[in-house]
Amino acid sequence: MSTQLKKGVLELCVLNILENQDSYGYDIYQAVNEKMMISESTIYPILRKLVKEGLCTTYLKESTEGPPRKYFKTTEMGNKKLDVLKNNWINFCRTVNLMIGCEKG
Amino acid sequence: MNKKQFLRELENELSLLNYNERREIISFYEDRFQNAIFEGKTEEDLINELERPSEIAKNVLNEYGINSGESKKHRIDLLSVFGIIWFDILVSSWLVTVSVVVPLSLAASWFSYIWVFTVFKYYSFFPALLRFIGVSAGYVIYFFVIILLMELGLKIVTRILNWHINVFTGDNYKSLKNKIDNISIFRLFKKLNIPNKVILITIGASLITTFVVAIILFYQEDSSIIIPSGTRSVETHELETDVYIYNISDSFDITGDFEDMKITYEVTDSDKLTVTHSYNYDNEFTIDYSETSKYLNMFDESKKENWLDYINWDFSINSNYLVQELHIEVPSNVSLNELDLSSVSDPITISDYIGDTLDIDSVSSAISIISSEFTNGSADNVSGEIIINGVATKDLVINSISGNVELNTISSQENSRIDIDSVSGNVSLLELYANEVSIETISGDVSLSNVYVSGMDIQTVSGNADYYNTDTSFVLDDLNFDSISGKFNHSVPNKQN
Repeated sequence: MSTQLKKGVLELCVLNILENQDSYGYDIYQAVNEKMMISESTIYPILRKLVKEGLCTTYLKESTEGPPRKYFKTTEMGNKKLDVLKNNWINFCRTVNLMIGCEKG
Repeated sequence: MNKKQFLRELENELSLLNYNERREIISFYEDRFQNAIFEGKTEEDLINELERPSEIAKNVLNEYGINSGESKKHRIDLLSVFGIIWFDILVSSWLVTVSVVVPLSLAASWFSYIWVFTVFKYYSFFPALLRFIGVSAGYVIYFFVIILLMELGLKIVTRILNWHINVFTGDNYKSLKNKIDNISIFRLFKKLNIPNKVILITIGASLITTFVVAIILFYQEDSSIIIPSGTRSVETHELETDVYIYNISDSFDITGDFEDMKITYEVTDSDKLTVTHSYNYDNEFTIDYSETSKYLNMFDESKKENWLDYINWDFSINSNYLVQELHIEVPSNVSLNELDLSSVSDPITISDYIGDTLDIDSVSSAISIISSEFTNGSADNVSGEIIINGVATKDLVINSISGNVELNTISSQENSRIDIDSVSGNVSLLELYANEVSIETISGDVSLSNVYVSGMDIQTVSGNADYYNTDTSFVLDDLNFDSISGKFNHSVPNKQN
């Protein structure tokens, strides 16, 4: 999968991960990386952007197997945004599939 | 490469980002290093696992929509020749100020602190501990104010720089602006990465040193290290007796303007002329003696080489801070032609003076002339008294405003004349022999007793006059009394009636 394509959907993927479970930077990266190969350094600016736009908040959480970590958590606004992004993605996929003939309307 | 180098390199690579964004990104990597240690990895292991700082920066900047390669090219366009000149002028002028003025002012504040301390010890109305705490606290506040002023200055300079940068157009002028915004002394301290302990110990040690020095100075009996301006050390000059007497005989004059100074003139059996001056530290006082004119001047300039050969001069700092004294001792075998002394508020005493002229001026201090002989005498005063006792003279002029005038046992030569002028001061003459006496007052009373003169002229406005002689056979040639409301009581026979 090309880098350009991945980039477009990273925000959606990250929000989706966080809606299910609060998580910290490296853990989020690993979760995304499992499914599609990305570089670690692209994830962090996206997390930062989510916080800045108010879609996520952060908090410090003590951990048994390490130092306290900065956890990310979706806000209400983040959840709404996720729904919008999901719908956009599904519609987009359908349109593209129709155009390239993988699916018939 | 270790963690520190890695993070520093990353920070450099991310320099186009503003400070806050950069910190956020770096904090993710700082967390990674912390976690790695818990997982038992070395810093090296993690760095191998991570992308290279330049690669990270490229990805991050891309996410922020900054093309790092292009930006670097733009930077040169942005900083045009004008920009560079402006930048240089502004930055260097600030740096010069900071690097020269601030250390100087810190040093100056240190000295002023010590100085204030030594001066304060003369004012004993504050307890010592309170003085110490007060001055020290002032110093500490002063120190921090300087740092704050520096920071304020930096902020003003960065504002100006930003204003200039706005003049230029360029894609990355914003990042340059951010960089300039982040210029700060406090941030510089942080960036230098000096452990807080070191800073605290340095500040503590310098403050303690200052306090200790101050305490030592404070309790030192003789403040010889820090002498307030104008203070001099004690100097004594003496010369062979015969030399100076030869040189100063016949034409030795003392002229001076001794403000606020107690002056004592005394003839002694010693064969040295001694001038002793005990003085307040802030009063400049020097003496000038010209050998050719044989004239001794005392005034506010430092030319004391000449006369010092002839006079034994002694400067001393009086333990009582406020009293000033001039003591002149003249050998009995030296004759002075002229003595001219003036003072403002401290008394002048002249005794055993023998010479041609005596001229004494004062404002509020008492003038007293005792056992002296001179041809022309003059005494001026505003509110101080004038007392003349046991004097032989030819001409004597006395002026007073509100001070009383007392003449006692005055003998005079042929054709002698005594003029006394007073406004509200009383005039009293006792045992006086002269040719002509003239007394003028406004409201002052005149009292004459055993005054044997050939001509007596008294003029008053409201002052009364009394005149009694023990020897009632003495007849005056001329006796005048002029007054508007004053009364004249007398029992002295005169040729007019």
